[in-house]
Formats: sequence, C-alpha cells, structure tokens
Amino acid sequence: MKFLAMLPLLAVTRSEAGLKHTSPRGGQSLPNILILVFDAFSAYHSPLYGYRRQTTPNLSRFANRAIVFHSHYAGGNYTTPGTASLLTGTYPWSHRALHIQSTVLDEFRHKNIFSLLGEKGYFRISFSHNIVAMSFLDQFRSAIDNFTNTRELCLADNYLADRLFPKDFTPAVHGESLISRRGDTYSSSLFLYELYRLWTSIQMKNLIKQYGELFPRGIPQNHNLVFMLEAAIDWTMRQLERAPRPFLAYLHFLPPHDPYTTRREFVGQFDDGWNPPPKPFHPLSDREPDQRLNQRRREYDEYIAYVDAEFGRLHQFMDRNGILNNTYVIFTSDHGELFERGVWGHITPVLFEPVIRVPLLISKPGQQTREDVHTPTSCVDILPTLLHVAGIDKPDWCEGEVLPSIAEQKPSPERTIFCLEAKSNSRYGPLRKRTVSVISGRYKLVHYLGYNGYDDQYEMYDLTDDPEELDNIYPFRKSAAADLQAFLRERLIRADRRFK
Amino acid sequence: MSSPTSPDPLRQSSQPLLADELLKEHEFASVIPFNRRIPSTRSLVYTYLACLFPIQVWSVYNLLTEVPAWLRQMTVWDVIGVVSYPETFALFESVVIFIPFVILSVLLPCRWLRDKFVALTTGIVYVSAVWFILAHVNDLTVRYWGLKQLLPWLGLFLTSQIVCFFLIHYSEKLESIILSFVARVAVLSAVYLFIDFLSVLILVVRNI
Repeated sequence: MKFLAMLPLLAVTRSEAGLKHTSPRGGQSLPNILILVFDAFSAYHSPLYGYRRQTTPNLSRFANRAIVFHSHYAGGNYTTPGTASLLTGTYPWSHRALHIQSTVLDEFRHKNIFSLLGEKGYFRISFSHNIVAMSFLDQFRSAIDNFTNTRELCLADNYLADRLFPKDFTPAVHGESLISRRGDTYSSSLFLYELYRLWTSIQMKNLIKQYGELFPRGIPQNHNLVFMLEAAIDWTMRQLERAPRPFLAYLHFLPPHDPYTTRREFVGQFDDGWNPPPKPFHPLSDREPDQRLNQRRREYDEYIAYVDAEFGRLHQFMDRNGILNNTYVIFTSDHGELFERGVWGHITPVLFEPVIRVPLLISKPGQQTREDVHTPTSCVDILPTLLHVAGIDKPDWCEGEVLPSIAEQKPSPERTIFCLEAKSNSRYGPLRKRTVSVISGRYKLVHYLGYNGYDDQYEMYDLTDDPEELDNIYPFRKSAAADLQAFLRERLIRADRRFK
Repeated sequence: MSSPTSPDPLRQSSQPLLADELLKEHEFASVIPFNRRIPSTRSLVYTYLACLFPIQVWSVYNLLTEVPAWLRQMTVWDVIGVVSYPETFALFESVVIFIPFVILSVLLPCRWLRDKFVALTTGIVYVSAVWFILAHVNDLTVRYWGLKQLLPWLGLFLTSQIVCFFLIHYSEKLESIILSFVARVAVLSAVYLFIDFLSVLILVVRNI
C-alpha cells in the first residue's frame, strides 16, 4: 500500500519529546485506561447494532472480547456537550458546555477524568483532532501529563491562536475563526482574508497532488486542519508502547465526522442500491431530500469502513503487544449522525436515535469472551466506571452510574438516561430553548421547548416495538408519558435552580 | 476642515513643496532626497485613517452579527477578549494595506502618487474594498474558481483601479470630494483607532 510507505513521514511526533517518564509510576497494580473516541460515530451505522451494511468487521472482532453496550447514549447531539459529559460525568445542564467551541464551567476544571485519575498516579495522555474537543483538553491541561496539540498530528494547519495566545486559547480560537471564516459568516478581515484563502488553496492543491490518489473524495480535514487517521493511529501505537504505567489516554479522532473523505479502497463499497425506508420530514428539519441524504449516508458508511480498518490495525497491534491484557480499552463516540427526516448531520435540534445513540465497547484487561448489555447507559457513566476501576469512590456531583457488568451490583431497571441539546440557550440562564430526551426502559420521551412553530411539543416512542421511531405515541399514551414528564420536569427544575 | 477658498491642508501640491520643484528640474525621481519623497505627516495620518475606515467597518459589522450569540455562552470579559482579536487584526491589516502605498509613493515619480497621495490612495483602497466585499459575498463561488475564471475578473479589477487612478489624477473636483470625505471620515476612524489600541492592550492583559 502506498500510504504505508509514507506513514513514517506523516507521523510527526514532536510531543514525544515530552515523554520524560519511562519507569512505572505510583499505583503499578492499576490497569491502564485507553479511551478511543471516534467523532460522530453513530451506533445505528454498525452491524454490531443491527445495521444492514457490513461497515465494521474489525469492531465486531473487537466485540468478541468486550462488553457491548447496546443502548448507550451521548450527552448531547454534537461534540461540545457530548465530550464534556464524557469527561466530567455530568449532563450538559450541569457542565453547561452547550455551545460550539465553548468550555465547561470553571468548577469542572478539577472535576474531570484527568484530575480524578491523576490522584491515583495515572500518567495522563490526551489528543484530539477536533478543535472543539480541544477546548476542553486545553481547559484541563494542568491535569494532563502529555498534552498533544492537534497540529502535531496534522499534515497542515492554519491555526495561529494557540501558538500566539496559549494562555487565552478558547477566546483566541473564537477570534481567529472570525478572521479566517470557519463558519457560515463572512470573514472579519476585508482584504487579507482573500490572500489567506489563496494561501490555503495553494497548500491544499499541493496536498492533493501528494495524497489525492489515496483520498479521491478529498483529504480528511476539518476546521482548516488537514490530517490522516493513519498518522494518528501510528502515533497512538507509539504512545501505548512508551507511556509510563499506569496510563490514562483520551484520544479523540475526527473520522467519521464529515466531510466523509474515505480512503480509495472504500470508495463505492456500499453502492449496493440499498436505501432505508423513507421517514417523514420533522417540523424542525432542513427538509433535505431523501436522495441527497441517502447519497451522504453511503459516503458516511464508506468513511466508517475506513475508520474501522484503522481501528482494526490498532486492535491488532494491542493484541500482539499484550496491551489488551492490562488495559481497559473503551471504544465510543461523542455523538452520532443523522440522515433521515430531512436532517443531515448533527447540528440539529432533534434527538432521534442515530444522532444520540453511540457505540460503547469496553474490553476489560484480558477479557476473552463477549458480554452484551441492553440496559440504557449514558456517556456520563464512563467517569464513575473508570473511578470504580481505579478504586476511587464516585464523587457526589457526578450524575452517572458505574456501568453494568463492571459494577458489582445489577443495573437498576428504573435507570433513566438524559440527552440535551441547547445550543441556542444562554449558558448562564435557565433552559428555555432546548430539546431534551429522557429514556427509561422501553420508552423515550422528547420535549422541544422554545422553537418557533414547535414550542412545548412532546414526542414519545416505544424503542422496543418501534426502534425506528416512526410512531409518535405521545398523543395516545399520555398517561404513560406523565411519569416521565414529571420526572423530567423535576430534574430540569433542579438543574435550572442555580441559573435563575 | 478646509473651506473651498482656503488651501486644502490635505492637498499635497497646495503646499510649497521643494520636491515638486525638484521634480520639474530633474526628470528622474531618484535624485530627490528620500525624506522629501515621503508624503507629509498630515497626509500620512489622514490617508491611514481613511484606509482604516472600510477595514474597520467591515470588521465591526461582522463582529456585531456574532456578539449576541457569544453573550449567551461567555462572560462579558471573554466576549471582550474575543472581540479584541479581530479588532487587533484590523489594526494590523490596515497597516499592511497602507504601507505599500507609502513605499510606492517613495519609489514612483512624485507626480504619479505622492502629489495626490491622500486622494489616490483613498480612491484605490475604497475601489478595492468594493471588489473585496463582492468577493466575500460570493465567496462560496469564488473559492472554487481556477485561474481561468479568475483572470477576467482580475482584469476588471485592474481596469477599475486604472480608471480610478486617472479620474482622480485629472479631475480636481473628484479629488476635492475625496479630500473632504477623508477629512470627515478621519474623525470616526480616530475612534476606531482608539478601540484598536484598546484591543491590543486587552490582548496583552489577557495573555500575560
């Protein structure tokens, strides 16, 4: 393979110079923890969870020696709330990372996975391709031993903010994105932006010349960062070999987040003519036509196949080197992706299953058989679970529970899971414009509040009988919904209390 | 502000310039001493402020569309911080745009640029500003253009600059209009300049 030959060139590892410790640290008997987050990976798109296309053969192989959580939910429907919930063990209404590129409330600077496990002597490693998740890692930087900057594993980046203003990272990134136009608005620079655009297009043309053959749909990139997953996986392998034990590694890879630029061998893999049954437009959708959604779904599936292949390479490496014998390997995502009801992607007010249900597979050290957990679980459970593994009690502010099959006791059948979308709401005010879903047992209740034309609306689905969420049973099952409504109302009142 | 009867302080040629006389005596601009070839301080200040104006207006306009969203997610101090970055950049951008004109006025024969430095520089920058705003508005189209599609527009851009240059060069009336516009706009730009310096200060405070 051509890409294998160039991997040594791609794997820029300036951060490795920062790895001073090679001898074991305190707490030698503790297992290592490796958290692999693949951004925007919807559980709905893996055959492991019943998807029709064979997108993830390597993940299925990994599942044979792992606990597979079948109803695992993200904290929100995009990176900011999803990642913050995973790292802090709290729901978005508590950590308040509600907006793109925002950070968690200051009090969580020391209430997170890195700070808590650091107390047990864990050597903490972090990396994120996603600049949005990077904001959190930067916020928790003082608790991270090996903080690897996004650009260190990129082919090209045009970010200056963190280089020039490391002490003011998030506002600087916001300011820079205004100048270099990383959204739908105009650049605030009248003249120089055009020169900047010229420079980036020349840079891109050179990269396309180099790697275009390998990536016919474009080289993976996001937010002006051009990268290759191969390089990040190679870097991960080196970290796993060299990091002092025990280590906690939080590695957040951008694929399969859009743009869906899969590698050549996966292009056209799912040109099988299959399309899922169409679903009616949602009132809050952009009314994207099904034909376009299905095309994007195919491209997404092919990108997932590429991600799976790279994960397979990492899995093989871990297996060969005995890392699986002393490491908790966690495979998950921060949110899903949606290709139905007129909605594409994840920047949406809706909370249907494909956009919030994410894969969660945990391979315990030396695990040889597969376990399946069908109880609903949330990403807020990951922090207490890891604390449990490290012998630390769950802090009282944490809203998660130790995950079933790792906890000694059986999961509660009454367990309720929440998911919140509130990017139009104030970070410091009560939640007046938001979507919240509550999942309890077989039912899922969704409440939309504050949207023009769809204000104070409820939807309810029976996930057992109707996993595709086609029949809104709320109008017919109001009594069944009443308990969930009351419970949800009580939680929201509690969450809003301090922001009034 | 200059009245129509009094000599315009911004009009380089209205002052008794040794450079002009020298230029008449010597065909080649290179013989004029360097310090005499730089436009007067007053012209430089007014021209700089005039150049700053469109850059700053564009920057502020785009910032204001974002500020309400930021107020929802950041503290006021952080919003001030975020705003300070593009404002500081606007200051930098205005200097980057302005300096080449000063250099050109030194390098070119005085009658080409230096004598009408304020009007010509302002005219060229403002005509360019219109083109660049059009490029921003059509960014999603322009960004996919190759050289072939870009060339005719580049030709039009250059033509408009040449037309602007000759119009200002040969029309006293147009020059006067521009000069009086510059004199007015400079006051507002001075406020923007103050905000820019404040932004620089804020960035320093936030990053120490």
